[in-house]
Amino acid sequence: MLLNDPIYVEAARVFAQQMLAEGGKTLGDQIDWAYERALGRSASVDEKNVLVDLHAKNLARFRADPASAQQVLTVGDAPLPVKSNPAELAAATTLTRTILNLHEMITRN
Amino acid sequence: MHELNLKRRAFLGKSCAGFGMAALNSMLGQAATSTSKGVISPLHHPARAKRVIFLYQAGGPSHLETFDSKPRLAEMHGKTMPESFTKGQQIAQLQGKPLICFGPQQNFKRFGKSGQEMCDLFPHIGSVSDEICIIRSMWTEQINHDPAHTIMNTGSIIAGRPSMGSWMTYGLGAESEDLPGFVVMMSSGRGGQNQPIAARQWSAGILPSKYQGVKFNSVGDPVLYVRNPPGISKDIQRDSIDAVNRLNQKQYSAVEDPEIQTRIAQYEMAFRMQASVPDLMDMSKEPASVLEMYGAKPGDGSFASNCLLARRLAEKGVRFIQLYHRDWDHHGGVKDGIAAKASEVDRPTAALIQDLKQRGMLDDTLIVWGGEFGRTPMSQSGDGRDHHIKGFSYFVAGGGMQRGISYGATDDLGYAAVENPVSVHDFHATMLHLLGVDHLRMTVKYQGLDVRLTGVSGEIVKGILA
Repeated sequence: MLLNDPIYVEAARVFAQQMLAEGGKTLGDQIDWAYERALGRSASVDEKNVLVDLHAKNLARFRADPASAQQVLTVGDAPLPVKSNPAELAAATTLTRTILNLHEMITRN
Repeated sequence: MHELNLKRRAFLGKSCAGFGMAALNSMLGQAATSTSKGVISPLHHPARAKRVIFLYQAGGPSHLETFDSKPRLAEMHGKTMPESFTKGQQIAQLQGKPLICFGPQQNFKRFGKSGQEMCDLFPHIGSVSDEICIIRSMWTEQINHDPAHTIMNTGSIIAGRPSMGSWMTYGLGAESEDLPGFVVMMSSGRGGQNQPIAARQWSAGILPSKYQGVKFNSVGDPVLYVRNPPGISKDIQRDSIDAVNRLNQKQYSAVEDPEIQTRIAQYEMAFRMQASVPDLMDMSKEPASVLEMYGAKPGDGSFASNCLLARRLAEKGVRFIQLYHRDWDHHGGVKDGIAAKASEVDRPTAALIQDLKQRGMLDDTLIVWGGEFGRTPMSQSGDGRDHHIKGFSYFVAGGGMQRGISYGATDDLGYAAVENPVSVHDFHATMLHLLGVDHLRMTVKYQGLDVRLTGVSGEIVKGILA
């Protein structure tokens, strides 16, 4: 399952790291950045809403349970950034993980 | 107020019909199986079977050393095979070679009150002889493995047609929402041939791909990565999948690619399987006596373990369970080969039948045992048999099939099905019939044809129906 395979989880996390570093200041910009990289287009307003919503829910969860954020971030050997907020990075990872599992991402035309 | 009245009337109107039907059905003593969750709803006629467990013996088991005793062949051992049998017939690797009669390499015995005759290396199947119906007059058109698998699975040699499991899930729907409707598992045992079986054999073909068979691993976790990654709670997973599906649904609105709907359904199923699969593998409540009956060590990749899993899958509402057991392709060494295979399949096959019977599930579970073809009465490599299509044996049990009888026969030398021949299409028509489906009426329009599992032929084999 592409959602759970550790290789995908690690890839999502590294993708999230890059997104936070290079994707701009706002979450909306970051989502656009990730969409450009993954799907070659920007996200629509509706699409952003879905992802912003998901991000908010998960950020709250990771803030309430910091240990779980750490667990997500240590899947795979790729190094973590020197400075990172675990809850935020974990939440961003759930975003990128979602993008990597989109049909549009998986299916190459 | 007005709207509420309308809704109430509509509810009552529908309910009266609904309650009436339920009452009628219970008065008739039938389970209310006239409706299904598939496209065939209501069913064409009352179903006898609700599910199928197909114990597929891949490689082509020799009927002459399993279910078809041929004393005349023993008498003719070593003599040239009479040309009247073989002239003009298809032949595989024995092309151009001398065709010599090769007597049965194992002994046969009668079992049970029904006295059905089978090879004495299968005493456990013999012990359930009164539950099964042996069909000795199967025949097929394809003499090589892959095309033969293809026609046995899909009713056609054209690649891309739906497999029988897909047809059945399409027609009847799945009884379980937490497991796929069509599950495939494989085992090899000894023999080392490890012939590949293409995933196309359980493909949905031209049907929506959500009806394709899902292969579960036989060793270890049936499905890889079924557990959430560390730190991802069930809630996060649920919300993530919801997000994926919602975004995919938006894409579907834009491009209307039906594969997207399949993708959505698969992710939904994947989420449910995260709970249902570990539950499936949890043998802690399985009595030791049951494990002993199968001779199974759960999750060890054996046919026995798969049979036990098949029963559990059946209990959980999986519609079509197909177990492939490999290495029956005895071009050489058929005597020892059959003994090895018997030691792997005899006990678990019988255990599955008994287990289902004890649970009151045999009556509505159709069990099928057999492979893609049989083997030649002529010898190959001095001690083996080549592929053979004109006559071979299957057995069936449960699900509305007759019990304790043998049906059909091959000629004296076990070459051709001469009495009550059963083609692949006939067999499929009969299976569908027991599931409540008229094979002529479950069709899909494709390339200008009304495509169905049975192609353009197929007669229900009434003689094997209870």
